[in-house]
Amino acid sequence: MSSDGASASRDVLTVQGVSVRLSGRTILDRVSFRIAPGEFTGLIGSNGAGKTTLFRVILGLQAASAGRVLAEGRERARRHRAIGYVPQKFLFDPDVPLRARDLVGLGIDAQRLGMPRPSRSRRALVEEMLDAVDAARFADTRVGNLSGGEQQRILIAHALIARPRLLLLDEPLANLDLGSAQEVVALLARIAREQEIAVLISAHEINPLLPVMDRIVYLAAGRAASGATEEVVRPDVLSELYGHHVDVLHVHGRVLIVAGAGEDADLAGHEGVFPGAGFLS
Amino acid sequence: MFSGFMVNAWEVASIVAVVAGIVGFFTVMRGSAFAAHAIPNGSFAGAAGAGLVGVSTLVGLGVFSLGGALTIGLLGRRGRHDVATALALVAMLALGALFLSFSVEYAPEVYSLLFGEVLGISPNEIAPTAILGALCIVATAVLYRPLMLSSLLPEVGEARGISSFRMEMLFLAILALATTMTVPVVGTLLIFSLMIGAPAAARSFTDRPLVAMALSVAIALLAVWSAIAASYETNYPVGFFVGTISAGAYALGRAWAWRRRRRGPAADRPASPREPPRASARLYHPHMSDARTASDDDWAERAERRLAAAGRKRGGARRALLELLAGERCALTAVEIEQRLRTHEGRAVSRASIYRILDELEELALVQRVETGQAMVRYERVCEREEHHHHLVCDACGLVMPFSDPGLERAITSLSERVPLTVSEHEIVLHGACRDCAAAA
Amino acid sequence: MSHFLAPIFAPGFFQSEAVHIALAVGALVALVTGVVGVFTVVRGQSFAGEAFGDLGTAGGSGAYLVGVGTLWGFVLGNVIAAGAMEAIGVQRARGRDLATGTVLGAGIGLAALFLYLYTSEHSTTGATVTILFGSVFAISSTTIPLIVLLGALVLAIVLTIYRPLLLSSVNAEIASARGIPVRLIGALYLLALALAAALAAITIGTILSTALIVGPAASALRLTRRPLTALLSAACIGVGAMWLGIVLAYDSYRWPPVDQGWPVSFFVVTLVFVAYLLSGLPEAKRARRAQRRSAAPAPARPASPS
Repeated sequence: MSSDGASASRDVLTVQGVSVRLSGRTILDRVSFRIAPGEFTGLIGSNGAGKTTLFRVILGLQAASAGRVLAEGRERARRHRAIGYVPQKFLFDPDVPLRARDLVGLGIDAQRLGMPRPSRSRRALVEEMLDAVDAARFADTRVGNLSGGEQQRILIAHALIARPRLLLLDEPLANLDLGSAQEVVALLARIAREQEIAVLISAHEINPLLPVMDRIVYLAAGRAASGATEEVVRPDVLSELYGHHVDVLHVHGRVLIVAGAGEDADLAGHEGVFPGAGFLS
Repeated sequence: MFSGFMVNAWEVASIVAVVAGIVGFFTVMRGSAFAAHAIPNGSFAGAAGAGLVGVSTLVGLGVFSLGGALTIGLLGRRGRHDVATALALVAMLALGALFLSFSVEYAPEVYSLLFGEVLGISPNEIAPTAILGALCIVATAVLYRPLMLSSLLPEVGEARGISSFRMEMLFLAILALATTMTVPVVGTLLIFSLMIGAPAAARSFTDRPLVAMALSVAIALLAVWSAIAASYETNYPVGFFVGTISAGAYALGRAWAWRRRRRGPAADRPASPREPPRASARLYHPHMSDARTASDDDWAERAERRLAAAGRKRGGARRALLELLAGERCALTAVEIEQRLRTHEGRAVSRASIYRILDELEELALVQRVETGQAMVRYERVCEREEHHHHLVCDACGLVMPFSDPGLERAITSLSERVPLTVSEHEIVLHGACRDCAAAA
Repeated sequence: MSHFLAPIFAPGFFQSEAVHIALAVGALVALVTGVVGVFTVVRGQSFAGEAFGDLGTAGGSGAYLVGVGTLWGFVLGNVIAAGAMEAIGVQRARGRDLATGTVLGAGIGLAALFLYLYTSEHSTTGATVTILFGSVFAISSTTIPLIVLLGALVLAIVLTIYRPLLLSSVNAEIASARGIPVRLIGALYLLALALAAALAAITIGTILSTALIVGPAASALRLTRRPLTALLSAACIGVGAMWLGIVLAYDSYRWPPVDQGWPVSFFVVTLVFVAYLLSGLPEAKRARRAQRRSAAPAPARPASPS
């Protein structure tokens, strides 16, 4: 079928040397990685590292200056049904008359024209997805009245119902409390395992994903290192990526990435343990 | 009331109401109220121009409303949307003023174009209105699903190949079409109140999108029917009644939604055992700064729900205090709360009541105490979705500033793993002298 | 000299008292609306500005009905409307358009009633056109003191609250963290906007008044990102459009198709619109040079504090 070789067509997603330059600034610099079916991949990077841009390239919303993206061995990921997308934290307006189940149902065939015809199979499919994300309890509540974690589940169900081979989630754990974040991660890991759906999840915090990640794509200043977690989260690899000396500390099964002795102010702001960069006023 | 020319009025007005109800549903969903005001209003110029050139008013309206819709869509793509809408509108109206000045003795027709002349509709206007109306409804039905997704989650729509820009243009075109058919009936200024009032009211009454759409049509029908009847009886302009009844329906909807919220979480949604009363630790998230008003409203709504669920009566003092706290970013002392209530809300609440209310709120995990080491305890609201923050205290002048830092949060999380304590919460207060005090010293 | 400029300034231009008043009042109003408009655009309240224009119709026609000056009607109507919007919750981003729209719809209904009552009482329909499409040439010298007073009041409000207003417009969160009473500032600003809209309404008519508020400010904000420069350039663009419009309108008495002159409001609004389109050129050129434009949906950012 595909002219891109056997390995590329077996992968759900292949990113080959993707670079993005916007108004003279390099956002992404020759990023390459691949994701196999059912694999759980974390895209880790601080804010501004280029995670969202990379997602936009994968979704076909942003043209790459160089390189290409293959979904199931084929180019033009846009309109590609194989990729389900859960956008970054989105708060629904509580005035919108839409129940959680309506939003999930919209995921079946939202791009089709005409009114949806209610049918038993449709309803059953929606129920199944609501169960899969453990959301049956609030299926009939307005989406705007749900908590952040609950809205996240509904959006996951909305993406899953189109039967994608790859689920893309943009910062789904941001501003969830630790308990909800762990539940969402566990849910995604179960989906990846049971339904053989590959998951690519972006986050600026590595620890919540550590137990479930098969593979990591670490993004810093537009460049990426990818591989198994233990191959990437190492002082030498990350120091080269950052261009500064970086220490990786293992503390009770958690990873702490800190700027080394001759630290750079920028770096401390992103990953350092000392306060200073995040003032509100 | 049902004789001769009135029959035409009833028929045409009903068609208009159905279309306004359906198109208006998406207008409100997409937050396009301004465009829904601008397109009909601007198309007035077309009607004025049509009289000048000698073509049918409908043609003039059609050309100008479509042109206006295109201009809004194209200008809005690069610039600010509301600005583009305002400017497209005034540019069209300026042309209207010009056309008007060329024609003599046009004033009565200006009035009827702006405010509608439903009672003067002739039978041969029914067919074009019906055809255009059917076209609007069919177009909305055909676009229903992509339009819905694009309105709700534009990024997800884009990822699925639904272009937000194309959807916006198509929707504006439908709006233009609806305008063309409705303007001669209710006037350029009033189609708007029908298109906003009815659907905005409808969504307070139901959670289902299709039911809301049907309800919106029903409310619009009710509004025009009663407006025609009232206008027939009193001789006052139909537009006056349409405007007033639509606003009344909206007010009624808000009141209903408010009552529904007041009945508490049990009525609105099944009680959620998982929702923690107080989040243990929140991750830093810089993107929330845009969503400030949303989270403020969330807190106020949650507070009202919880208070109602706990069976507390609503008092004016508590309401004022809730409002004050909802808008406050950082911790306040009871004395500060008292002062602010007096200066901002013009309300004198005794300190004892303030402490009593704060205790109640604390019990319901709606506010938390912040120990800043100053003489007085400070209180701030507990937020679930919002940025977790700590405090800087100037010991010289007592200034309290919020701050947050992701690195600090990570360090604390990591520390929490190592200490022999299940850490459920933390708060950090840094003491010192603020910049002004340090400079003064 | 005057012979040389004759094609531009029609004979009698500098002698007419109506022109003198128009030039002076027009400049004052354009200055005020330009300054207020910058904040309208930054705060995303164009719709409120537009609503004030149309609501002025209700006030103005009410004034006709009871027989007082239209400017009083505009002012009173707009101030009441500002109160209603503030009460319903115009300060919240969510549902703001709906609140504005509902007040607007009810106000237009009222305008329809007032105009109807006036028309049926006086059997003349001139009021409709005068209020909706007013003319800067028709301002009587007796209203000038009031216009000057209101203009000064609006400028005083805006300049007094300039810094807190700017900060709370750009980022309400930081503003309230600093102890700025964001809601009070917003309400004061809404009052200034209501008064500015009334001034614009008396000059170019209620239905076109938004043009003076939004147009020059939006153009200025596309040209510069510094708040003070934006205020100044908005005022300049507004005054320029106003004066050029007056000149053209005066000239147009010699133009076809009818020998009665084109409406001055038409020229002013058209010039404002053209200014907005032209102000987009520098950025468009820059974007084309950057060539990877398709990638970044870069909307025109409002001014940020420098």
